[in-house]
Formats: sequence, structure tokens, C-alpha cells
Amino acid sequence: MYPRYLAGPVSARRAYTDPISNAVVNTSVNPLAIWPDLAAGRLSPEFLNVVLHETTHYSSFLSPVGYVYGALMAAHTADPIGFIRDQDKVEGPARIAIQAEVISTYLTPLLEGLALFSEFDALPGPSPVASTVSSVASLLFCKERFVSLAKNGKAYSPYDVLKQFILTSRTREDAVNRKNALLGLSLASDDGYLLGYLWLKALWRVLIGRCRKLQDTDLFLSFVIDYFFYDYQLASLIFNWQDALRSNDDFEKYIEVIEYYIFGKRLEELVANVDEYVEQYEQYAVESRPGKIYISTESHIHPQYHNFSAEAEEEINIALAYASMRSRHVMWPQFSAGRHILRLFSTPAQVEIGKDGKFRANCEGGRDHIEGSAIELARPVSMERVVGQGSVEAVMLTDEMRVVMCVFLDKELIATMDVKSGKANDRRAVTACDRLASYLSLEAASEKISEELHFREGSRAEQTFLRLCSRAKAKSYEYFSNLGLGRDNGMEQVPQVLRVLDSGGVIRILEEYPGHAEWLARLSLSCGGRVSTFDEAAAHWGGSADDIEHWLSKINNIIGNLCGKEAFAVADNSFGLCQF
Amino acid sequence: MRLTTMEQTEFDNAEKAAECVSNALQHKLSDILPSGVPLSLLARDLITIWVKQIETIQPKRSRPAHIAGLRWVIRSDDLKLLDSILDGLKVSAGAGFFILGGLTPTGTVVAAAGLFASFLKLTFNAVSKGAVLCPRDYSVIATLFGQSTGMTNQDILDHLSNVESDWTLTEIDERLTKLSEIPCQSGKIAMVWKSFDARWRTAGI
Repeated sequence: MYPRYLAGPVSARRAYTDPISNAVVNTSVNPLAIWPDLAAGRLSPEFLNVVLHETTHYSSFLSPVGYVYGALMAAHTADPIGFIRDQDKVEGPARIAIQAEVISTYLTPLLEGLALFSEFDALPGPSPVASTVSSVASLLFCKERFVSLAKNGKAYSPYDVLKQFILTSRTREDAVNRKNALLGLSLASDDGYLLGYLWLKALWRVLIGRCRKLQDTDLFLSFVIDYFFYDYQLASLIFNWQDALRSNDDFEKYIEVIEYYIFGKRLEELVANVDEYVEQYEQYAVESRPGKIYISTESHIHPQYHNFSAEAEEEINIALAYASMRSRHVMWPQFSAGRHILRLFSTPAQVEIGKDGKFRANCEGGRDHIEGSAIELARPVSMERVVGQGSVEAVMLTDEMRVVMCVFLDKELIATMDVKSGKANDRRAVTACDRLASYLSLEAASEKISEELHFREGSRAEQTFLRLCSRAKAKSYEYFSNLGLGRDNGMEQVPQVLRVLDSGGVIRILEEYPGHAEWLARLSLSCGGRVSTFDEAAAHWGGSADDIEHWLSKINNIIGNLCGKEAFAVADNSFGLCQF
Repeated sequence: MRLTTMEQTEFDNAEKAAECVSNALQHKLSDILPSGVPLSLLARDLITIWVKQIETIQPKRSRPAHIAGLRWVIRSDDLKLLDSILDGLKVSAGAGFFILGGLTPTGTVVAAAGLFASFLKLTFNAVSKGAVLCPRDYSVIATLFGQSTGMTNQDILDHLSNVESDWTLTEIDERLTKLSEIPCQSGKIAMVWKSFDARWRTAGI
């Protein structure tokens, strides 16, 4: 039943993270084709950007705010009849649907800013806390190298190896092109990429002035995710289950409260107390391994900024239960069930289970295949042969930090195989992945949920939706650009410059200055999350240290004159703290 | 890398695309480039001409995965076009005349590669849209290129006359007018523009 709801043909390339199921869908490479690399932990650097970016989304969504945000997106489908009836009252499911769109507008730049910071700036540093992102990347890209160094008696930590790997990969031409593409995006674009990225870089610059520990950009990344997404108060503000049933509160007032909370109170508290909060975070985070998905509230003391309370936790559980009501139907995948499992790479497959209980999954027209024994419970009761559309997906069980290949037929899991040992259907893997659904069925569910978000023309719901979404977009742009594009002297950015940025990003500003945009991208990557030297950059990009100084000076002059912002801090043959 | 048709090659990796461009143009560039400019730098700048995003699909409310995947599709016709632009530049260069006026005294090696690549990209875009340029047009554009404060007609004449004495103010006027509204397949494009202070600059296209 699912393929007819897909966003496009089964074979089309997909690259996205679904906020409801927290499924990363990345079909840019067939996981069977890179099996040996996955097993050894030596993935090619060409996959680094996408893994860093998507794992950041994954870890942001795997949080109280992430869970509630996913629940909010699906909540209107729990009562489809109520949604239709609510179109003129806007106090139940229709209200919830509008709320989801507005919240999404506010969170999008933050989510994308974090993911892009992870791609272009984050580096493991001296903090004892390792983010989920760097832990995953270390295992996938650097494990083989680390083991080899350790065998030769070299005392490096896995994160030292990862740091070196990121530094090399981040300055590849592919990364430069990606950074160029980012800097050329419109500031006003709905994707929130550039707006969020510049905001996060500006926030980093503000916070390191008050907390030196945050010079460790991996710590900064994991702390900011924790600060915003593990806030139980924000979670309960975003979605209170009682609102899903009926709420007569003034909707406009509610939106103002959310705006004030995220962009006013929360941000002010962060800047005022960052030193103390980072201390609390480090103490809290080191108590569990990276990738740990459940931290018992009895044995842990939450940082003050989590605003944790047993009642708040209960509210979240009820919200989830309400929103996932529909997914308990036998025809729907349980899209909330596998949110903690990180999908890495997926590919569609023709899957067959034979009478003998053996399965075979053919990918890309049979060029690659995987076969073995199907899980006992996945076999048809009749013991007949079954054939159908399915998928093969490499997933990471983050609580064990191991990679498993999962095979699905329709939406059901039929087999697992550990990529390293080749062991099929081991109990822990099957138990962990049991309720996972194929990415194709999750996409179908996600499309169906979006389709059901339809307001009757001329209804009060439609008018409210249009008015509030338009307001949210303007406010979000205002709040994020105030910090992200504010001038170094504390003044707001001039409207003319914002208009240019809206039309073609930072690249448009440098359009009349040949070579500057390319060099801004290159040098910003050279000093991503650290201080670089003229000599180091010259050795990598070609030319001399004077060349690098020449470009830094020209870029700083032009951007300084136009935007009132220092693009790079330059001193003693070194440069860093790039604001773009 | 894969050959998608008889006429174009598709790369999924920027390094390989730059290597292809560098190899294709090596024999031409060695005569034109300022000495010491590494070809690899120039090729890396040039490949942005052929960069394309890999098309993906996604459900309506999902978060798109990072900045889209990129690939480079280089048509053999494009390389030929670049080749012919370089031929035009060579002729315009004349005896002892370096095409990028003012570059050698002020620019450093890496800056020279960046400027030269930008100049080629500007010209490539115009020519690929159907603009027809002659060697003397190239001389005018090359003189203006990289002059962020712009130049007056007289400045351009002074500059060009230092190398070739047959330039006149009338010809400069005519060529600038032509370059500011070049007929092409999609209407008219401007390679140069005149600001309110009567100074000419090269334009993005």
C-alpha cells in the first residue's frame, strides 16, 4: 500500500531526515557496496559531510524537544474527523496543525545551523565530553586508522584521529563547493540554512568570550543541542497534550510566549550563565557514554537549564502517546518506535523469502545482493514463497555503537546482519530493530500525514494558518538575523545589506570582487573551529603565506566595509573566528 | 567518473573534475598564465562552471539532508569553447601585452589564478549564451577586469595604448557600448557596466 504515497519514484535519490520518525534517509550510496568499509570503520571522506549533518539532526531530534516536535507534527492525524470539524473553531486538531507549522519555522534555522556548524566547524577538542556526532563519525571513518596506530604503540585517542581526518576532509574541493553553495543561499530562504548557520557562528563568538571551554567546538555543538533540545519547559510549551483536545487560549498570545521564551528568555539566560551551564553540562554528560539514549532520571541530576521535573516528563509521555495513536493501527508503521536508531545508508531492494525460510534481497537490478535466513517470525504462516518491494539499510545501534545491516520486506524487518561479524539475526540486534520500519514505509506515512494537513478554503483555520505562518517567518528572520548579521559595533545590519543577502547570500555581496567568494569559502574551512596559520593554509591551497595574508586582508576590508563585520580575526600570521 | 554520453563526462568528485579541466587546457594555458600560477589552482576555480546539484526528493515536512550532493558534468563542447576563448585571449595579448592589466604589479600568484579564473568564467558564461567576441573585445574586458574602482574611457585608452598604439577613444567607446549590451540567445547581456561616476566595471552575468 505504501509506494503510492511516496514523495517520488522508489529509485529516486533521497537525502533527508524525517522529524517524526527521526529516520535519516540517505540513498546516495548502496550500503552493500560499502560493506567492507562499514565493517572496518574506514568510510570514504566523501560521506563525511552528510554523516555529520544528518547525525546532528538525529541527535537533536532524539531529545525531549525532538520527541515532542515529532509528536506535534503528527498530532493532527490522531483525530482526522476532529481535524475537519475544527476548521472553523481552531481549538483542537486544526490548532495543533497550525502550531506545528509555526514551531517548525522557529526551529528550522536552529536545527540547520547546528547541522552546518557540525559539517564546517566542529572539531573534537580537550573536553571530556564527546558529542554523539563525533562518536559516530569516529567509529565510521577512523576506527581502522586508530586501531592501526594503537597496534603500532602510538598513543592517540580516537578523537585525535578523527580531528586529523576532519581537518583533511574539510578542506577537500568537495567541501569547498558545499561551503560555497551554502554562502550563496538566500538568507531569507525557507530552508533556514544560511540564516541558522550565521546565527550559530555569531552565538559561538559571543559565548566563547564568556566561557573559554567552548573554544572546543565539539563541546559547543553538543552543549547547544543539549541546552535547546533537552529543555523540558520548551518541550511542554511546544506541545501540551491537553491543547490537542481543546484549547480556548488566545493563539496569538501563545505564539508570543513561544517567541519570547526561545529568543528572549532562553537566549539571555544562556549568555548570562554560560560558564556555569557548561560546567553543569560536562558533569552531567560524562556520566554516560556517547550515544547513550536513555539516562535514568533517578541516578542523574539534570543541569539546572534542563528545567526538568517529573511532571514535565510525564507531560511529554502523554503527548507522545496521544500523537502516536494513529500509528498503532496495523496498517501504519510505528514511526515513533525506532527513533533512537541511527540510519546511515539505505537502498531499495526486491526481497524474497523462499519456502525454506531463506531470504534474498536484490539491490540495483541484482548487481548487489544479500541473502541468509529470515527471522522466524517474519516468515509467512503459510510457509509460501513471498516476493515484494523492500529495502536494505545500514543502521547504527547507538547504545552499542555497532553497525547492523537490516533487510525489510514491505514495512517489516525480516533479517539483520552484523556488518563486522556477519552474524545474522543476533538477539540483541533483532530486539533493538524489531519495531523499525522500512524507510519507504516511513516516507509513505510522512507523506500521508502531510497530505492530511489541508485547510478548507476560506475557513478560519486557513486564515489563521496563513497569518501566523507569515508572522512566524518574519519574526524568525528578524530574531536570527539580529544576532547572525548584527554589526560588530552592536548595531543592527542595514536593510540594504540584508536585501542583498536575501537575493544571493554572502556570494552576492562579493560578486563584484573576483576570487573573493572562493577564498572566503577556502579560508573559512581552513580555520573551521580552530586557529590556522598563513603557512598552513598556503601549503594546502598553494601559493605563499603572503598570498593568504593578501586574501584575508582583502576579504576583511570588503566585508568589513559592506557589512560592518570582521570576516576573520587575523594576528601574528594566524587567522580564525570566521563569522561566515 | 563516468562517461554519460559520447559528449559529456560526469564526475562525482571535484578533484577528478579539476584534473580533467587542467589536462584539457594545459597546452593553451601555459602560454597565457602569469608564470608560477599553478594550473591546479586555476582548474579548481574553473570547475564551478560545471557544478550541478544532485537532484533528490523528500517528503514535504522533512529536513533536507545537508547542502545537496554535487556532481560535475563537463561537456566536450564546453572544453572546446574554453579553448576558443583562450585562443581569442592569446591574440588579444599581442606581443608583450599581458591580458590582465595591472595584475602583475599588484597581484600575487594565488590572487592571479583567482582573477584569471573569474575572468574566464565571466567570458565563458557570455560566450556560452551566444555572445560573439573578438580579440579586441577581450583586450577591453581584460583591462577592466579586477579594477574594483572602475576605469574611465580615457583610462582604458591609456592602458591599451601602452601596448598597441592603434587604439582610439572612438573604438573604446564603441566596444564598451557593444559589451554593455551584447545580443545573445536569451536577449541581451552586459559584460561591462557604467556607474554613475562614468567609470566602467566588469559585470556579473
